[in-house]
Amino acid sequence: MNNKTAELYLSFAGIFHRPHPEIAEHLEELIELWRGEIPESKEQLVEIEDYCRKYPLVNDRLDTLWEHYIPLFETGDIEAIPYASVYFNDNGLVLGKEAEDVREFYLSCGYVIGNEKQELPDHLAVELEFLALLARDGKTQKLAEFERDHLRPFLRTILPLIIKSKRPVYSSAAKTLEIWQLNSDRKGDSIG
Amino acid sequence: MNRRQFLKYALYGAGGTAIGVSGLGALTKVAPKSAIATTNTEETTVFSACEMCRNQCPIAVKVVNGKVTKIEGNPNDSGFGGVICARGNSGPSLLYDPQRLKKPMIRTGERGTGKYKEVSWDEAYTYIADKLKVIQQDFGGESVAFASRKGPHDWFFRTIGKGIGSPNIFSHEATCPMTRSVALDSMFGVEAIAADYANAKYIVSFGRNWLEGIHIAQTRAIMKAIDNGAKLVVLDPRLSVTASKGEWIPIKGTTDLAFVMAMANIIITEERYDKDFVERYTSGFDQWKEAVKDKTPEWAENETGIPKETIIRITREFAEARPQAILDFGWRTGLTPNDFQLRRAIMIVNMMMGNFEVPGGYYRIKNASVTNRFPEMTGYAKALGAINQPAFPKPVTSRIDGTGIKGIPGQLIPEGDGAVGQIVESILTGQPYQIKAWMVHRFNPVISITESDRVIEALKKLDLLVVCDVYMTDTAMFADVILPECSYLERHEPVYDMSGLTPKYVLRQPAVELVYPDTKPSWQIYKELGEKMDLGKYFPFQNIENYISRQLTPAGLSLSQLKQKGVWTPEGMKPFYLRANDSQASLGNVISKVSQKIEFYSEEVQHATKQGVPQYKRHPQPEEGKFRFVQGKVAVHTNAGTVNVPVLNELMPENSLWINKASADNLGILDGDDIIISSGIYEHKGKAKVTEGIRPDTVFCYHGFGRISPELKRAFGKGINDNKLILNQIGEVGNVCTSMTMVTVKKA
Amino acid sequence: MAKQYGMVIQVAKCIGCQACTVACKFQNEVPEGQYRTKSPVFGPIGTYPNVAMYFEKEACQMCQKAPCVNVCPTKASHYDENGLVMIDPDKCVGCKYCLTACPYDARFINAKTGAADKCTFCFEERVSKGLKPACVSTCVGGSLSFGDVNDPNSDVAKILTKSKSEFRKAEFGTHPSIYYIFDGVVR
Repeated sequence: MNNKTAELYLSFAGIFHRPHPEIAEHLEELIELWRGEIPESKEQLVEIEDYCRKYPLVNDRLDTLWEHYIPLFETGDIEAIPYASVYFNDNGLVLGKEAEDVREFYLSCGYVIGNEKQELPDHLAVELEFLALLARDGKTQKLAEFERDHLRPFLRTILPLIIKSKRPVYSSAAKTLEIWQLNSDRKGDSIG
Repeated sequence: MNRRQFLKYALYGAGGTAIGVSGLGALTKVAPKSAIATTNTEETTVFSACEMCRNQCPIAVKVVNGKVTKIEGNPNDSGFGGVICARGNSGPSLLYDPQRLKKPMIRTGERGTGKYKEVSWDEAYTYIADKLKVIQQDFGGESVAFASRKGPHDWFFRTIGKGIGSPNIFSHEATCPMTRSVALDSMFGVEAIAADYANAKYIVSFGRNWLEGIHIAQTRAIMKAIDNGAKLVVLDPRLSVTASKGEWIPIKGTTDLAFVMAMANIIITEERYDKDFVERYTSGFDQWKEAVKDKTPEWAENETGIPKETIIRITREFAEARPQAILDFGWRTGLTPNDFQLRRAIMIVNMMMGNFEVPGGYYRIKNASVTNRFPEMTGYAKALGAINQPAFPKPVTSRIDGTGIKGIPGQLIPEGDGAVGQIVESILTGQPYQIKAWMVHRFNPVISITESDRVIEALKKLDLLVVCDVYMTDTAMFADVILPECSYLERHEPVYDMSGLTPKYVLRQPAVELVYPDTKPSWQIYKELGEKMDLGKYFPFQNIENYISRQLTPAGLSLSQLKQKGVWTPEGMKPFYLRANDSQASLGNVISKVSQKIEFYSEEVQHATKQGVPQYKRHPQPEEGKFRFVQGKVAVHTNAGTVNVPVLNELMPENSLWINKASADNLGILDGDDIIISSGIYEHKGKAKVTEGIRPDTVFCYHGFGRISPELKRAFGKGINDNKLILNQIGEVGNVCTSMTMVTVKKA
Repeated sequence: MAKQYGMVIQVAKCIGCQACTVACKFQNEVPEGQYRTKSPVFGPIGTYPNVAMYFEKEACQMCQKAPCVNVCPTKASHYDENGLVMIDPDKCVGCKYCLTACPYDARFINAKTGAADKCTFCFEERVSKGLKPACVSTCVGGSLSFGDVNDPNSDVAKILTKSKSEFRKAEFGTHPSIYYIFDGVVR
């Protein structure tokens, strides 16, 4: 396990969390990280760079990210529901068993959802953030276990939906994440 | 910052010992804890009240390990018998719906394009408060309209409107049964009159559809009456489920008043009315007699298309069954501009028969303040306390809809309701003055007000539109600010009075914690918004528990007491019919007319409409090649409210247009064909349902479909939005008129 | 006499509101798009204006001579100690023989478990605890009754002595435990 794994997971967590000024401001930095670690995602990175050039100001970036985040993940015509439970349970509802399972997993590793940043435990960004923390803390075995039991099955369903949405940044980032995860599989970097 | 400094900083913090991810993260570090083996299931039942529709039926919510797993009727309420309808059963599916609104949002793009950003509650309140302040300064508080689906949230929602001095506060009732309220008010001086269906022997419905427009207690009462051998007659151009359980009389649309007046004519001619009752308790019988003297069965046959023998037979059967006979006063949209006169005529016929304050007839709702007027009933229950507010500023103008203005029909419109359709007119025409901002709570004007396209045009002209709801509704799509309310399973609400034949109080309380932590109950939303707008003094309570306690203490009850059963009725009190044992008992304590009479002729109605007793007005009938367009409810959905709820959507994702087989044959339309319906102004695509269960000159669809909001993914574009087609016409007392539109139908 | 559970459906009292349909879904966690019971409409039959319409609840008929049990190669479908037809999902291999054998089309492969699925009378979750099945408890029209038909004091026995009942597809000799009463219904 290395720092890069932590940084990579955190970079994707940052993208898939609700739009945040820090992420909007540091998008170029994420591209740079991905270019170094996931060179196969060249095409996607060009797309995100184009977006960055089109919206150089943080506020414009934030507004456009919101414009796409809301229909993609948040309310109404959600193109890719960001909660794992919805895919693990056949009834398509949130806070199912999967949400409870990941919450317990977090707790067993010493993490809880903070009071201020309340979010459902099985939100895509929260799972990615959790993996960044495990990588940072060097908890290799737990990381592999969580990837295998929770993240991978979730990604298999949700990433195609995000990619299909053709939403700027989100679609390209989802494809990049997919490529990285496939690479990890091949390299045996993580157990998948 | 250097390359990737940002991520490193976020991960390791300044000192490299960050506990979680700084700034954007959601997780924080605690001591690790292994999951406790979840073999122990904790199961509780929370008694509360449903809100899948507006009826607020008592429910029992099963909660297992902090999750709502199932909802049943509250067995502690005998009228509801532990039963709940499909919508009530589907509550968990709304509670845990990933499509709900989760955060306050502010519009960032053009109206209707769905471009929003999420903001904090404080930002949302500030945005609304600032905008309203400017609008108030420039155009006055009256330029801000408030409209909600009526309910316990109104105390809080309306306080904002009253606080800024707006007279323009509306309920949804004008799109619902307001004509009935007007009729009851004009005759009895109160709206609180109900029917004792369970004990009736004969029930006549004019389009009333208890078995699809379900109110659990009433639906059960109807089924009980039928089970006990009561006869049910249903006059409806369409074979509703209710009609299928009785004698179906496919009456020609908009002619119901002719049928009622002919009944009166027959009853008077054959001297079948209760002379003593009419003499003792009513006024204006002579004027009514005059109004119906030429309304013979022959005349009514011509108007209604119902054979005179049938009219006579039903009238006689009804008269024979008195006083356990109910000519139902309806609970639905206004059908015609003079719909309230139909409701008046219905109640006049009921009162001619003395069907009042006896089992199986109509009765005054017996809340505590009514029961305490009778020595033998005193002491069983005490009235709920009110939360006093400081005096509100007096509005400087009258209302835009004429409500309360003497000498015009607006005089008859209940002040608490108003004619909500007039908001659209004011925005579009500037008459009588311009509405600039619209606050909307749990109401969906785009689907609930006629001519949807005009409603949308109006919404686009507003300076400010605020919508508070649980879903991204068709109306929210056009809002500047969207406020996410939490669902009914996650909030308290003021205790409400659901009295019937005895007093009754019902509690809504949270069954679980908030699913989406940034949603809020409406009481809190409006209290906080009010505080932001310097209206805090109008919200003189700390929290809802405090509010409820102040309601309950004067009634001699406590919140913990109500929580235990969810409902409260006085121990040992029997259903109270004033005339059950004394057919000459004074009605002084149950009606509120100065005359102390039930007024067949109303001076007030005469003054307002020049029609003190109902007079017949002939409405146009469909020309050759056209159909009358009528609508109704379906048991698995609530109007414009539930078509996006997952389980209910699964059961019925769309509606279709019912068309008579013979009519369809003429047009070459087969069952399931794609069709185009045209009102002459608007067109709508749909599917045909070819059936023998409808008049050949009428077409029908269920209301609430064909949603225009693409955000309502499951419901978008499926089926027919009736209100796109129904031509905008505001009735005499501000009501919608849903049976007046003629359409053509052709194969698509 | 041994217990014999039965359900009585008074068709005239069914208002087609689907409260039972939804109650069953939540009680039994039936996957999206699948149902153990539904109450579809029949009609309108006849010619305008002389028409009739009714609703007939459909579900497993709890046959006492159940074709599904006979064809099950793994004994996943079986009679329990009360003679009710049950499915052991662990034994079910999803071969669908029972789906084909059922004359009432009452079975499906549960999308979640992969096993054959159907109505159980809510036996384990409710009836064994003295409750009525979820559909019966929530029936708005008062159409559904449930109990021991061998107990003369039960609701079902009382209704059955008063009214003539029918079995669906009686000619198949399946001896169902669902009794349909059509009094007051025009068919």
